[in-house]
Amino acid sequence: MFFDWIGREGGALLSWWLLTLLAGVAVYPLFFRLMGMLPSRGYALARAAGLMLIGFVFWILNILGLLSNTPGSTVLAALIVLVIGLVSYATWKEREPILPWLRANWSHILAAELLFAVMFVGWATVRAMNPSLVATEKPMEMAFLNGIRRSATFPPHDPWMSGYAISYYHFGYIIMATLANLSGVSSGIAFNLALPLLFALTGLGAFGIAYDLVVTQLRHFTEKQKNEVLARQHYPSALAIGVLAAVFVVVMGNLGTAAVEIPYQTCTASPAYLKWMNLDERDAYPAQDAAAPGNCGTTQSLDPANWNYWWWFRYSRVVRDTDLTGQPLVIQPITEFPQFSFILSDMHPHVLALPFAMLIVGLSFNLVMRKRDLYVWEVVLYALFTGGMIFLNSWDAVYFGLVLGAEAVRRLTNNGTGQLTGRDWLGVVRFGIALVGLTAILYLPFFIGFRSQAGGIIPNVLWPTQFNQFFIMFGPFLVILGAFLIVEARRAGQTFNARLAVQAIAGIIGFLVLAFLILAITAWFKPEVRQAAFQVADESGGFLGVIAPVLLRRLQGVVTEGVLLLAMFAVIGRLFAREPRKTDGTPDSAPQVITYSAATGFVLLIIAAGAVLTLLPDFVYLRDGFGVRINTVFKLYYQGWLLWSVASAYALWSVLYDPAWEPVATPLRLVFGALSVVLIALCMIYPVDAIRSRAFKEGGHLDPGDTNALTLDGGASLAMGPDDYNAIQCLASVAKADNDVVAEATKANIAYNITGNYSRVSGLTGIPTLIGWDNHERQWRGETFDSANLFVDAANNINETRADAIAKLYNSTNIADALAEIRRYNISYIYIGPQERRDFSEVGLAKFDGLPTVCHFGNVDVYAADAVGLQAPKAAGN
Amino acid sequence: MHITNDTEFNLEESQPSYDLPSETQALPAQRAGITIPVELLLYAALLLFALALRLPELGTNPLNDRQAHEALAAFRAVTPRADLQPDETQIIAQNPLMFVANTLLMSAAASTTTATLLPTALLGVLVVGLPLLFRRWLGTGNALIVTVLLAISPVLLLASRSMGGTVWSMALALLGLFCIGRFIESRAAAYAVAATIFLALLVLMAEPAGFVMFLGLLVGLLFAASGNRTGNDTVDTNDETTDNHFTVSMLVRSWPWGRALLSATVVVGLVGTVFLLYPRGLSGIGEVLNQAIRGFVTRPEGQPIAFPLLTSFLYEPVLWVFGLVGLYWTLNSEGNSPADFIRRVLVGWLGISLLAALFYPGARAEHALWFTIPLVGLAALTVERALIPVRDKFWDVPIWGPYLHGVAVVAMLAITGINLVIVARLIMNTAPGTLPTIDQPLRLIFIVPAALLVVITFFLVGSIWGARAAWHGLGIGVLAFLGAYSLGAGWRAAVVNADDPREFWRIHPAARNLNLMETTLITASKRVTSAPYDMQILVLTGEDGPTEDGALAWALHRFQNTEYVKELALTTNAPVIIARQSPEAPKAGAAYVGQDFPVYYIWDRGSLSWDFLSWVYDRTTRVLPQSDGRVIVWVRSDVYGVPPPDQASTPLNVPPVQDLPPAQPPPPGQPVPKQP
Repeated sequence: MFFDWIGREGGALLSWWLLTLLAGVAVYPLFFRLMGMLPSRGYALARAAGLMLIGFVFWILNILGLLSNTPGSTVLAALIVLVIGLVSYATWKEREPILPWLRANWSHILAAELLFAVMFVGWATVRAMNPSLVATEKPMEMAFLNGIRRSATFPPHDPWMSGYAISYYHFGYIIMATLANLSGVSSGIAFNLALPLLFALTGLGAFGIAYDLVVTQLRHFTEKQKNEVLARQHYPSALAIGVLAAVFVVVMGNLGTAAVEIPYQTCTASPAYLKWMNLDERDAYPAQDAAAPGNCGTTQSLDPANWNYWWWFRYSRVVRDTDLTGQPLVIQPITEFPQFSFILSDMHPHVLALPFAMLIVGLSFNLVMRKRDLYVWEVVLYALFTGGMIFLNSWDAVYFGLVLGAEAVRRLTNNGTGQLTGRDWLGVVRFGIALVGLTAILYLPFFIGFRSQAGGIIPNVLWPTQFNQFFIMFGPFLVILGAFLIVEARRAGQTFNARLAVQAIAGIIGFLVLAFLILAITAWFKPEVRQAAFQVADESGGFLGVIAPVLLRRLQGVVTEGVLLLAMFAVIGRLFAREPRKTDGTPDSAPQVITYSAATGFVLLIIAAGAVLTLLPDFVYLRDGFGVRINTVFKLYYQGWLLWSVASAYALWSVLYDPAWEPVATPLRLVFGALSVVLIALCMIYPVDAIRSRAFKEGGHLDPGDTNALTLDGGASLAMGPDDYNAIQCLASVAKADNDVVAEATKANIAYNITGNYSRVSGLTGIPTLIGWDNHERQWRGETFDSANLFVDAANNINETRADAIAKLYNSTNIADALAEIRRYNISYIYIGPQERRDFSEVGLAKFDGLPTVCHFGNVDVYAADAVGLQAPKAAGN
Repeated sequence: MHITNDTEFNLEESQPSYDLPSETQALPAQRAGITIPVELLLYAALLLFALALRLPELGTNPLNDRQAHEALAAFRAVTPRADLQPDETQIIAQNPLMFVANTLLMSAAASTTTATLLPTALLGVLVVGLPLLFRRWLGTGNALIVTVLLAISPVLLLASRSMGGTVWSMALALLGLFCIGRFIESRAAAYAVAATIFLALLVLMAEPAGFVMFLGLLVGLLFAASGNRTGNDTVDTNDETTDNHFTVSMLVRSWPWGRALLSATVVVGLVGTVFLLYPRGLSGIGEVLNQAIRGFVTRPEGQPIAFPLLTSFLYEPVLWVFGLVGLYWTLNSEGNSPADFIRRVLVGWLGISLLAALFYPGARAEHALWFTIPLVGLAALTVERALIPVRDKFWDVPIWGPYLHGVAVVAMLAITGINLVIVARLIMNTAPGTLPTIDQPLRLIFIVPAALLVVITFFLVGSIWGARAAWHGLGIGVLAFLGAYSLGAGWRAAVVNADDPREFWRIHPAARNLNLMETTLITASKRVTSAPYDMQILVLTGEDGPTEDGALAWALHRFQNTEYVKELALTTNAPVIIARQSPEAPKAGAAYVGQDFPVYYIWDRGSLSWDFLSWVYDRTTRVLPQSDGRVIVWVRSDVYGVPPPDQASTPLNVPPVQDLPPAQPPPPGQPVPKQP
């Protein structure tokens, strides 16, 4: 079965592998210079950098009207990147020959390539077992992909709102669309190739960074101990830690399956335990059958194939927020992690941004390693890459903080005083201004057209994260990083700057409180916020009555917040080292203030960054259409996962093997090692079980006599049967004009295909329809949505939404109504498939019979929206 | 010149025998008043000859699909279609330089077929004259011979007359080579900058396969530089101020990369955007790269394997015969003159051309030019040696001796040819698909005595004036005979058989009937709108139907109200509807009468067998070409006042002439396929 599939679709896999390799090759001369401080010269990150840089050049030249959206233009963009890289390399005075370097580092390169190939083909196999694109938001992502593929120029058309460009962070879709166009595969295949590609690129990035961290530390050891032989003995461990980092980032799940699902399914958990864990639908057993003692209402099976449908989905919701009465909120925070993303297989922007987030982490580490300031062209590139994260996934603007933090750590380690001088602070600020300013310039066309639902930051009063739930999410990382911080504090010895750390933590708490108050006061001036606050207060017996429950509620988060603040304390104390003192308190004559390497310094930075990201949702959240912290927890925890994954791989190695320091006592190491292994193993249950459920069970491969062939083509799953799919494909081949518009069924206030199969024609072809899932359009366009969606004529006689217009177009028996809608929205094609026949009246649909048929399959008809034909008698010309 | 182990080469020392006359030598001529050197006159005559070969009947034949695509790309850039958004009018050119030239020409002059073909044709003339640049290294005589060979080259003639992008890449490659040579000589950065610009234009803007010529040049240079003819690996500096000996690595190091790449980028950007007038023109560069990559895996439909190589063999036997001899001499030469160096460059170039022809499926007939440049250079050596007077220690050879021998060889080869033609014509009289009777091929036996006569004459001449004179005479004869054959073959392919698919060069030529269709439509338009090009025309596209960038589209490009639609509305009543030939009449809101036109011709190469003889000589075969891609021009019945027959619309065989008798009832029935 596997080889049969490889025989059929191996070419597509090969082409994507080759294209990404070429993207890496195109950028490597530039990258070799830019990332010159990393031992690997950023080899593992080059693919992602190449895709991003080529994508940027392609996008900006399209936006400027210099290129069209064609495969050739992508190749030209790649060539431009290559030429820039070659010029940069050729003009590099201290240039290091690339070929000897490649020869000297063949083991790293081979390992990176093997890892990429295994991860890419491996996850492609998982997707091929169940390539369906039906569920959740895949139709929307498919629409973006197709909309970009068929747009003649940029900005690309929004396939779900004709006449408008996409108003969403869509850089990732552009990158994937260009790969699809270059390889010439259908979008159904491209979608399912993009996910393995992202999986492999992210893993590869983590591998490269972890490898560089370990090798940097070993080189630091060589310098310190003059023991190159011992250092070299540890080099293979760098590769192993790299692989471990890749596993942490994209393969490992959270503890939910081991800690809750298995005990629940096997009835081994006590009801009190489940209640304490308090996860949605897993806080109690189902109603038990009294007639069957011991029956807790579950399958009592260890095989996930027997568990409830999509059980794995629950572990993307391990944090549960409740109101003051203890009732769970209707909308709960999302606690997604990469492995869940890939199991679910939505190609959302946060997934598309994963490899590039790794790239930014790598760039940050490179920055920490530098001895001197960045040149102007390097600052431009840093801005291009970091700013690109906003275009990829606007929440990833947090990476600006990481890059600035890296610049601060660079200055800290370079000046050797353990403190940041005023000059340093000024440098960091200047660098930040440059980054932001350049980002604004480089991505100006995106910012101009971008609208969002974000409405500011408001304080989180009621929903701190309980530690047990936080531990389910980040358990192994907390243990490994906790141990590492303790060990590092010990390694710091007298240089540990506890005083500064205490001051800083006090400052952070003070800042949080102050910010909390300011935000609360600011938010109070927003009527809807004030109204919500009054409502809560009224329900709890007035404002005075609320104070005590709120304070009690805040106590629930004390452990989580305490742990995170403690981590920050340790990081600050270690990073901002103080001069070691003699016993009499006077400074040492030749103090070595900074005793950690750049690698350790950077790991401390990303630990702190992760702590900040996971702490923030306890105090603030982004005001959006949901009104709760659903997205704030989701997006910030997600980045926390990435940072802590890389940090944990290094931390594990550092605690157990780092030759630069005196080894930790063997019993402690054994306990720590065993605990880590157990926790990691428990987390690895999630991917194993989830893949069994999602790929094997859902894909029908556990059925007796399974004959389901493996395929990556999931396009047909979005259609309503073969005739529908064939008609959609036919339409896609016929409608080539850039200004085509297709009419298809829709409904008001739809967000998913739950009550029908809406927006599939536009989704599968990319031809814009009047309105797709309007709920999502509203999220993407924020306050501008209504004006775009509503048509009001000058005399105010007509006041209709686009969904109304569609209904009128199909249902009205008055030809004039249909004509008006066709002209108003420039409709080129009218699609009548199963959903349209289900939703609209037969008489209404009959009026289209006079139009020329473009495609006809079974009960599906696609008509050319010919206004004259609609006016003519039905039999005219026949 | 010294070529060393360390890949040194020096082009400073030119051959003394070919040195230009010094200023003092030229003084007596100056005293006599204005004089025109014979050499200049010869070059002018050759250029005029090349021009004369390229201009007659240029534009008579309709453009084929590939040419139409390029022409329409420029036409749409100059004249966007009113019914579409600017972005949608774009057809991306695959030869950006030609696109720029066509755009400028169409803006300044006219958008006719001739105007579209003109830039490449003129560039072809320029290419004929480019050897003049290499005169300083090749010498006067050799450069002139190269020019003559290029002037009669059928492949260059055909490519020049048919918008061959390879002509552009050939010109750029030669200019690039010249600039590299001058940079090595003078170390003036301007030459390096110019060379970089030319080579960037070659790879990015000339044509998709432009990179092959670049590779040929590159590999040729490396091959030549790696050849050690002296065993001297020391640097020999003759000039105290200038080190005239370069190694490849020194050349790379001394190249002003920054300036050169920046200048090339600016020039490519400016030219690609038609000097900022058409920004999206840069997409054409992307398309070049895209097509270049696709060329590795995609062979154009109907094209045989190693098409450029076969084309070159067929049309340029003279170059192959003399070029291979030149190749042998070059490889065995110990010479270190600049001319030897250049010939070694050409050897490497020839190798890459051979590899590309075999392993690059995207190559077309015009890429036979890959072979033309190196072969011309190598053949010139052989021709030069054949033409120079024979000086022998033992034989006193008169100057006219080898020429006389050459005339005899021509005569005997002509006898051979005539016999072949007779046999070929006999075979042509038999029915297609049948084998000729035994006596017909037997006439080929008459060729044997003629061939024997060539051999006998060779030995006869050898016994009188020595073997060297005999070889010279044989060379002159073969050169004259094959040269005449090549020139004739080139002219026939370029002009006489311009729409004949039996011509090996042409795979899917557009039919001349498209001209007739245009005339018919002009007449109809005058009847409908009183203006020749204002009539509304609907072209029904769809699967296998006419495209918006093909031969038909170019034939219609001046009809400004042409619309391409996928389906006809039931109430359509446009004066003219053009649709793919179909037994069903279009379902429209008026009655129409139709006339069918072939758009292309095709011919089955598999049917050749014994026709090969006549095909080689004059491309006649027993199996005739067939029309392809036929369309029916449906004219609304009231345009010509033709009353509709029983059915609302019926395809009729209305003669496509200007003035139909208004009331003459057309004969009923289906359209009769026309033979070309």
